[in-house]
Amino acid sequence: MTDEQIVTLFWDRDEQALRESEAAYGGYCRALAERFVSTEDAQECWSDAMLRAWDAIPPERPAYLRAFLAKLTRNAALDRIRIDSAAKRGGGEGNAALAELAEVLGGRETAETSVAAKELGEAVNRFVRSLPRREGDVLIRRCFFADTTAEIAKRCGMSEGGVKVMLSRTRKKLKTYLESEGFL
Amino acid sequence: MNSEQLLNAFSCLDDDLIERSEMANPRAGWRKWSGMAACAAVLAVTLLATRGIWQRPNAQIRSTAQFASDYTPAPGETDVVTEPAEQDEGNAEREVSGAALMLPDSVGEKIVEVTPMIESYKTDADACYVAPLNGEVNRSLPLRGAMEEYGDGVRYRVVVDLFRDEQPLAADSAEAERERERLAALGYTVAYEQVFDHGQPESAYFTLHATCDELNALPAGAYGYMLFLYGECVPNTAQNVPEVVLNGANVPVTGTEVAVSPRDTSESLTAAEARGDAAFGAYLCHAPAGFDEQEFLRTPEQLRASYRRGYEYVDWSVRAYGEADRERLVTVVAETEQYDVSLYTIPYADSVPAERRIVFYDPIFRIEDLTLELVRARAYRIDDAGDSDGWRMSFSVLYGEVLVRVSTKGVSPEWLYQELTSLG
Repeated sequence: MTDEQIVTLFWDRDEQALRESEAAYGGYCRALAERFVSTEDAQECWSDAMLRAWDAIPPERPAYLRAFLAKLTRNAALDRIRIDSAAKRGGGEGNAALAELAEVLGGRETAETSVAAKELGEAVNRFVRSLPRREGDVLIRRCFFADTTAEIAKRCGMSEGGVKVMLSRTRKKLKTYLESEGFL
Repeated sequence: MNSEQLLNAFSCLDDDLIERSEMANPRAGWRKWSGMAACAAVLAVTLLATRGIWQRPNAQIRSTAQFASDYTPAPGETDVVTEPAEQDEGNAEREVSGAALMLPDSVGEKIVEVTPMIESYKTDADACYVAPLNGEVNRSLPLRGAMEEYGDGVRYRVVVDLFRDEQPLAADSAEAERERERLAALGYTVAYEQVFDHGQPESAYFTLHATCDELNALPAGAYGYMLFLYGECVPNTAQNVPEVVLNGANVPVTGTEVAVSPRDTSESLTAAEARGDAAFGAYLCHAPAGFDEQEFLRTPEQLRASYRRGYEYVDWSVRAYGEADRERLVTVVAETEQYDVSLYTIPYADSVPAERRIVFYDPIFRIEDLTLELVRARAYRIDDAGDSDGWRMSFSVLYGEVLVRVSTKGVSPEWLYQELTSLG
């Protein structure tokens, strides 16, 4: 079944949409959640994502259902971490990506949360769009999917060293960009 | 701000960016050179470029064989140097992997960083190009694609076709030689390359080895510049292995064919080009205030404009009205139940009767029937955390036999009505 057909099932309020989504992207999204939380929590994150998708479609009509569900699942996983800071975290790559992003803040990390999430998200989106395609893809693989550098190297046809160098450069660019936008 | 907030911010990436990263494919347009010779060639090109040898007119360079003898691979770098040979696959692309290759220093264990050189890039589009005017710098589609994908992390091996008054100049002409000297004086790495076939001179090229920034800032001066990636002009032909002379030294490079250059049929347009489209250009809207990002695209069937401001957007497409569209045409505007979103609750799938959905989801109004009230009847807002809560509207408008479809978030019904009624 195509994404368009699954989305149509959502629009028709046909619960088969959930079964088809599970068959098509359940494993994919659970694996993504496991980068951030434990296996058992990952299943709950996927269930949360399905509920959110049911509420959002319609009126949403996602052009990229896989990416749409992946974002919902990732959000559910990060929500879970926030709610329970002692949550059983997953394989560690989410933590590793988090630690790398701390470099971007360059010691200016604060506990205050006054930065508007929406504005920051928009800035990150603009920044990624401004990058050359491969560089943007590598950053997304690391920071959105929490892929390991070895996985990114294989996916993108680069050496692992090349991925690390590229990520290091891109994080510096991100830091400069966030400074110029007034976030740092 | 803390790093968790920054990590969360990546959840705001657009779906197409996320999906695109899934499509990252190491083999599409990405071929590693094989063995020592390949790496040595990379080293040769890169070291020559970085040392600026080609900037000095009569300098001699070392052949790749000499560089190869200097080179010893290091443990851990086998993914770069021991791939099975792929170099002799006819017209196969030759590109160097990675945004920055990590190669061993020939003296010690220290790893040195070498900038890859891109000399070919695969695109699906066919294109021909107009001669550049004096002062213009035009780039081929493969070069544009490569620069977009690899950006500043690499260098590009580029062939320059030089024009004066739209007439091509030979690479071995005195004028071309003076241009090379001018660019070299500005810090560019330039070369005059000759290709020999069975000992006979076959072709000559004016080439550049430049970064993305250098190419973007290339001063055309009094001439028109048409830039190609090297692989477009000197394809790898296995049956014919001529040699290239780089300022006196021979290096093994294959190929004798030269690309033809005459109109860019690229699908991506500038705003002026899009508005100048004879069939549909007059039906494009203007950018809403503050919507700084814009994109124009022409396909054989339609002309599309897209404006963005964060999560907010105006997507505007223009095409010919077709038979399949007729079922969505609202012929009686008074039947508001066909299209008025305020009459139904979200989720619409639970409130709009099945028989009305085809029209309701994308109604077509004749421009003669369009009123501000009608546009307002298509507008709704959603309080969605993490997203824009601006007005959302989508529908189509028929101008004779031309159909305009709009899908917006963040602009007002008044703005949209004003734009729609000023077209045609």
